[in-house]
Parts: sequence; C-alpha cells; structure tokens
Amino acid sequence: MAENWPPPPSPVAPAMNYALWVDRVLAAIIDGLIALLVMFVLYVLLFLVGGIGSMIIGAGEAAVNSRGEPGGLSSLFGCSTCCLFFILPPVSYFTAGLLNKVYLISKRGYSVGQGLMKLKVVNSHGDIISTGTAVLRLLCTVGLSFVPVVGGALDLLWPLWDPQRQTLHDKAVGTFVIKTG
Amino acid sequence: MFGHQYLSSRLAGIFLFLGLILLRVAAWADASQVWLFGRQLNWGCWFKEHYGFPCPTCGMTRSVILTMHGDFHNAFLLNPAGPFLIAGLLLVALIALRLPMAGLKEIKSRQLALGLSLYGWVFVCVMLGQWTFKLR
Repeated sequence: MAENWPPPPSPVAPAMNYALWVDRVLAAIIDGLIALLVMFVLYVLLFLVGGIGSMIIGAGEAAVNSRGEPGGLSSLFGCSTCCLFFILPPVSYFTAGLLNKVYLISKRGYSVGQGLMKLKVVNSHGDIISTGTAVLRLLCTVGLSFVPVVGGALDLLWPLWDPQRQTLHDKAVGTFVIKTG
Repeated sequence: MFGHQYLSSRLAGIFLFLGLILLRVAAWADASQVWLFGRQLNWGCWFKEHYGFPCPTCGMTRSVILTMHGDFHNAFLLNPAGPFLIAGLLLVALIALRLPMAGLKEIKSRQLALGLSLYGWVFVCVMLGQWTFKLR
C-alpha cells in the first residue's frame, strides 16, 4: 500500500546567492563611517573630560612636556597618541556595532551599510541570526581587529578565496552574507 | 586552482616573515630610545607628557624591537605585550606557510577564526593588565 509521506527535510543547506566581495567591502566602508562618527564623539568626550580633569588637578601643568607646550585645555585637540589610535577604533566599532551590527542584524537581517548594498546576514538555514550569534559575531570582528598587522586584513580578504565568500568572523559563528536585490 | 590558492597563503606567510626580518635589521632599541636605519627617533608619548603616567601602549615599540633582537628580559619589563605580539605574528606566519588557507576544511577555518579573535582579546587583556600593574 503506497502512502504519501511528506519528504524528509533536506540536510543540505539551501542554495544561497553569496554576496560579492566588493559589495561587502562597500557595506563595511559605510558601516565604518558610522563607527568613525562614534569615534569622533568619543574622542571629543575623552579629551574634554581628560582636559578639564587635568586642569582641575593640575596634571597637565605638572607633567613635563618635552616640546615645551602648555598642558590643560590648550593642548586638547590636534594631538595624537598611539594608544588612542589603537584603542579608540575598536571601541568605537564595538559601540556602534551594538546598534548597527547586533540590534539591526538580529531584527531585520542587515546593518545600515548592508541594507544600502542589499545584503543580508543569515545562518546556514537561510534564517536571520539570533541576538546572541550577532553579539558573538561582533566580538569576533573586534577581536580580529585587535590582532596587529594581520587580523583585520585577513578578515577582510578571506572571502576572496573562500568558496562561500565568508569572512573570518562569519566562519567563527557560521553565518553567511547573501545578496537579496 | 588549488596550487594558486596555496601560493597566495604561502606568499602571505613569506611577506610577514620578511616584514619581521626587516624590523630586526632596520630597527634598534635600548630601554629608552629607538633607532631606525641608524637615526634616533625622538618619539614621545603625548599621554604620558600630558597626564604624567604611561598609556597602555607605552614601551610597545621598544619592547617589540628588543624582542626581535632576542632581549626578552628587557622587552618583557618594558611591555609584556611586545613578546606576546611577536610570538603571535610568528605563529600566524608559520600557519600561513604550512597551511593552504583556501584548502582548509571548514572546521579548521572556524578554529583559525576563533583562535585569532581569541588571541586578539588576550593581547588586549595583556596590554591592559600590564598597564594596570604599572599604575599601581
């Protein structure tokens, strides 16, 4: 007696239209501009707080400046320190990423930049990823950017030789970026 | 195809090794100064000048160069993140030379991705940890 059983679910992941590397880079640049804006705000806040604090406690005046420049608010801007350029970009990326890379991606599937480039972040079943996965994905991205010289570059270039065009942070959490448009 | 991809990962490893060798040859440091191609660099830390205490990356350049010259003791004293960074870069270079990245199995790619991002976070923890220790 023939019975019409429903076909078993396929273990093979659905065919996906993986995003091109160029589209991903353009989306990353747009998202990077948002992080840059956050970095600027943090930079101003840090130096305002630091400058006012140093004026109050006199640290800026007390510290010996080898270039003979005055301390305090007068030297707040136009200055650069290696630690700020090492720490501020990842911190800004993480702060902006909590909204752009976690909230937006877990709610609708794409960040601001990915939305403009018509890209979507999905899991192996083609579904929108959970908030936890999005947080892990962001932590991996920031962690890779902390690896000097090679981390960020490897993450960015990996889709060029990966058959599923995944970045390293995609590999870490098992996500894929597809083209929707 | 596979050979081409294997070559690209090997080239990445070779470039990283060459960069480290160039650093070893071109840069010299002692506990207080850095020389590049024989010229003394008068870099100062704005943070230290302004606030009177070191920043998390203070001593990093000297530490990295001293590590490359084999002076691990002074490198560690200046900034423990320096030897840690060089060890990590050497490991990445070795992995790039030994493994064809494009030919990695999915599980190994995932391990590499997780390992590298974990290394990044540990690197930051080492840097911030030694800074906290110095500030005490």
